[in-house]
Amino acid sequence: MYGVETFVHPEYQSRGVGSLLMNARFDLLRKLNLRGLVAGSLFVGYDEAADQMTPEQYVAEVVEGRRFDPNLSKQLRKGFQVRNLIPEYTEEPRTRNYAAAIVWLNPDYRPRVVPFVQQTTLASHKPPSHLGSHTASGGQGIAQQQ
Amino acid sequence: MIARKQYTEKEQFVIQPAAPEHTEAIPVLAGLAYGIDEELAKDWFAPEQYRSRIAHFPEGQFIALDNGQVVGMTSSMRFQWNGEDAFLEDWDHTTEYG
Repeated sequence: MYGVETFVHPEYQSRGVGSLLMNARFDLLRKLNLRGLVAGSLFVGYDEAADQMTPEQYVAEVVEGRRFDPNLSKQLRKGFQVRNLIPEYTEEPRTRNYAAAIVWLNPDYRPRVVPFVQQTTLASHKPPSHLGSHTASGGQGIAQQQ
Repeated sequence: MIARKQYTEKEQFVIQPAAPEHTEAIPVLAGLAYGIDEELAKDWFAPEQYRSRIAHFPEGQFIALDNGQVVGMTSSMRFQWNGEDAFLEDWDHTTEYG
């Protein structure tokens, strides 16, 4: 699943609304048995540090807990991990158009196992004489679906 | 004391699936959240866009209500990614421009 966007009224920020909305997403991932959630995190606090360091350095410091970012730090607290940076993710001057690709893996995800239809019963029958010695071959294996 | 206050505040929020009637409130909310003017917000966060998302993947659209007022929203979409490679797609391409 991809996190398209989340926003909260300014008067309600830092009051737990974003966390509750994220919990709803996590519950949905479990309900639909999806592998996880990926999103682009706009680490807007970079605007104040951009003249001192690269986006990579800033994100590394946020991940290590040495800096607080109004978005990314909260997402890390919810269990997201940074996978990589995305240049030119969207028009956002505060991040210099960068985003951090963040991933949350559903701990309850179970790959669905779908067995192929087995045709071994056909192989046990003697074919009609006009088909010669040909026998049906049995298919066996598993397919995984998301 | 502070923790108790936060707990009480959280209790009044309701998280529920977004419905078409909530989409008119989204440009106003987005304008306030992103600090952009109302006309630009109506263009970038048009209610039709959110009605389309509700039609395509209703389970993935949530709103937060406080006494019936929309105070937050989150939107998700189904998506195929192998989870191993770097994720480098920009927002416009991933969402097909919203």
